[in-house]
Amino acid sequence: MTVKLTVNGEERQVEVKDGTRRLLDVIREDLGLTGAKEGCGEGECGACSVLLNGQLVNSCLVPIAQADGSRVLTPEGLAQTPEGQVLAEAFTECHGAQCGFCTPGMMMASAALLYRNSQPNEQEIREGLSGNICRCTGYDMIIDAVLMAAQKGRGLWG
Amino acid sequence: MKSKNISETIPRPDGMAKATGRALYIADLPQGDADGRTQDGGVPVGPSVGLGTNQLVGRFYRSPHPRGRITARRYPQVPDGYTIVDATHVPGKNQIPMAASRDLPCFADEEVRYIGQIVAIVVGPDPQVVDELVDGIEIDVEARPVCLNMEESIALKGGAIHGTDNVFCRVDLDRGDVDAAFAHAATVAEGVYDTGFQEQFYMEGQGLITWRDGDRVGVRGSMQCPYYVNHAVTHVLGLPHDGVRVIQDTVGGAFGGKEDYPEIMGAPMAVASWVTGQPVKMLMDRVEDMAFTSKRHPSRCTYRSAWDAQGHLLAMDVLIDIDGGAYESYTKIVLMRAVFTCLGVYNVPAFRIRGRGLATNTVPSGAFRGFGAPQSLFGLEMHMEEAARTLGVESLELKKKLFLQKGDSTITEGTFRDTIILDELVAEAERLSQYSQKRAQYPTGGMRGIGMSFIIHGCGFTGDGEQKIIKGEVALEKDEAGHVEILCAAVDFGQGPQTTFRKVVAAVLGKEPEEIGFRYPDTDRVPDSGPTVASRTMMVVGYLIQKAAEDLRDHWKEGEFQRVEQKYSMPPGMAWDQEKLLGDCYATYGWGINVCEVETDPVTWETKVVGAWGIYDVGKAVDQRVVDGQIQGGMSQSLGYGAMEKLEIDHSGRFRQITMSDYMVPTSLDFPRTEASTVDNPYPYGPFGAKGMGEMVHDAGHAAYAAAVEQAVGKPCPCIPLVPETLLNIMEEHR
Repeated sequence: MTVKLTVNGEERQVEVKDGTRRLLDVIREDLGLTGAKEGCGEGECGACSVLLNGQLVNSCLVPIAQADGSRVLTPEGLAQTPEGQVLAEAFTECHGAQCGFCTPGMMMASAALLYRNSQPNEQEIREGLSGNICRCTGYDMIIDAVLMAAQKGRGLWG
Repeated sequence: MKSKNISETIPRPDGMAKATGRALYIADLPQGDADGRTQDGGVPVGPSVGLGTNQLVGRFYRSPHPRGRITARRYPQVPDGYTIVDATHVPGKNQIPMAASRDLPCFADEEVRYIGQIVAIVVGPDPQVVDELVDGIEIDVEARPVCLNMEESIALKGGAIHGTDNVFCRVDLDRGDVDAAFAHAATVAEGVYDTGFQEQFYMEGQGLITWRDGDRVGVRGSMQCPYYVNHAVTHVLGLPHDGVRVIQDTVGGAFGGKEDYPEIMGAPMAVASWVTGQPVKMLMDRVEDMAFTSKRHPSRCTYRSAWDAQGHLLAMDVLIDIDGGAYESYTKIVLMRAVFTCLGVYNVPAFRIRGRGLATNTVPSGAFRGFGAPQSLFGLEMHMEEAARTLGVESLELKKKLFLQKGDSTITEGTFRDTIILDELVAEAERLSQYSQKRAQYPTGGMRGIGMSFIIHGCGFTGDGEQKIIKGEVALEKDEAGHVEILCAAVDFGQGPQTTFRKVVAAVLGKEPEEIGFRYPDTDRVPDSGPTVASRTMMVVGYLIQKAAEDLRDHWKEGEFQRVEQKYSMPPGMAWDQEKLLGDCYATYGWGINVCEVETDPVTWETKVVGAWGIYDVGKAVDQRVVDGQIQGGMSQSLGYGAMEKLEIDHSGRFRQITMSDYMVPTSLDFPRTEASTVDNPYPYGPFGAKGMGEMVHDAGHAAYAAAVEQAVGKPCPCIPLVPETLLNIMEEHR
């Protein structure tokens, strides 16, 4: 089947044999966008997070057929936006990334949170990121980064 | 550097690549591109380094049997382009060489000792066909009873797995007349303290690519110790050291879990590349990774302490047993650190310590941040709580009287040569947490509690290991334009050398950190500065980097290529006898305090952490945020270890928790912010005064947690993880 997606603002068509193929594999293998990572393959860790029609999803749990006709924002696409840039700089400055493997997913979850709540407090950030596992930081510096991005990106998050 | 203070934090140089998804981990590397495409921090990627289109997929056939002699193997018909590789294909030695052992075979040959042991590797172009071939393999074994834990190991269930007594190794230390001390004691306190398995849970699973290039072999991917991999592959293939090239790619976390496994996984893969002549790629999914890679050694520590009528400590009698699993691998070195750390920050006048590493039919235990110290410090700190209860005194007061001081003897009769600032650390801990005030205020058993634990962590390899075994070397190169590049084998798996090493060189040369080059290690380019383990990277390798930078600065020639090198030498006055285990077991020590405050629900027995503090002497923080990030991340892992990370085995020695939904690691909602603090105490032989600190942040958060829970519930809590069921059992036992 042919699947149509708008990925990071660009229209893409992908031929797939099997509609149950994971969105994660399509974006990583067929589209070469390796920012989203596979951490667990069962929707527990959030390393594969992307925005599907503006909603935060674990792309390892989304069958490609279900994404047909959707808008997909990956970590690479987020990085191209002004708000993604602010977030990336905040993660860098606050040391919100250590090994970095969870970081693209954390960026997506942080963006999803800030798009719906541009000035979250610490508890709201903890709740917003609770579907994303980080084993390095203990989360504190990730929270610092989101707070910084909220402040520096004031006005960007709509 | 513009700032005079090396601790002043800078943005992470690897931060933008990681945050934007540009950093390439092994699973992200493109195949079949033209040579020369570069990646952030990494070496150029292309077909000549394992990324050609002829890459094969590899999968292990792992033993489904826990124990027995192999009597038959049956392999399916293999289509063209597919190969099954096993022990018969090994051109060198069929063993994985590790620092202190060689007992783990590369491929199981005559016997299997645990479910999951690697018997063969199947390689070929189509993953589905490879899987089918793996499923078609069978082995028969002459089965023997499975030995599941240390009790069964000591009882020699099914006969000895290792030697005649199942004891891989012993470490014993004695000082003074312990029997006489106990005979004269007014009070004796005693307890048994248990810790479980712990999974490292790096977010990126194990992954490697191996390839053959004429008479040479390459390995690249996720690893902590490129030269360990080099050594293992040369040993198994019978190649000279320059016959193997090892390249580190971006590493998505390690915590010790990528110290031994890239050798265990990479050596059989390298044999497959040697046999087929083609690149082989293997990425472990989460289930395979959790089921079969090394975990933290479970432990049982028995402490007895003798006290006189005035409450002075006379002696301690300590037994430390750790579960090494099916092969010795790193057990001896883990045991040494457990034993050398088991008296903590206290001056103990007489002691008898007996340590054993035991064999069972489980996955070989391996390295995990702390490396034995989290086990024995749990036993010790919980025992000090027990002793304080027995003596009827406040545990902090009891501990303070026993604090080590400069000039005291170490556990191995060496000398603490550097200033010890435990009193300052206590003052800082009190200031931040109001520990003593809260401790006095909360009634025992009132469902709220606060606990404090103390940490000592020897920095670098044990004894003279840095000089005799590692012999670390680093180099700096300057090109004609004045660009300086760091050449060493230290891996950044998140803990920060990409930031801190650059800062050290920049500070010496008066440059900005971002001007300093520091690529991920490639053994064809960098000298062997040793493995990225043992809290040695900053203190040992970082110091060599500083010395090299000073050499370059002092001999700087404008417009010329220059290379300077530095080799490790022991700090003056340090002495060690490896036979007798006497002398300075470590060059120096990191020190720390953890405080944890909890509330326990008397209905569900769930415990909520309401405060966490980590206060440390790291010498000097080369970057405050790098250090604070280690403190906070280490606290999260150690609280996970103490509170929720339950990892059990089933009747055949398999782990029960092999998915992320079964094995609980902390989320952002589980623990509050860790308040991190350091007190400067510069070490003369560390870069800008820095000591090792990456491991001690995981050494005793679990002990502070358990001590807090003890106050909250009013009962001894001598085992972790203290999940609600365990706490309920404790409460019912004492009812």
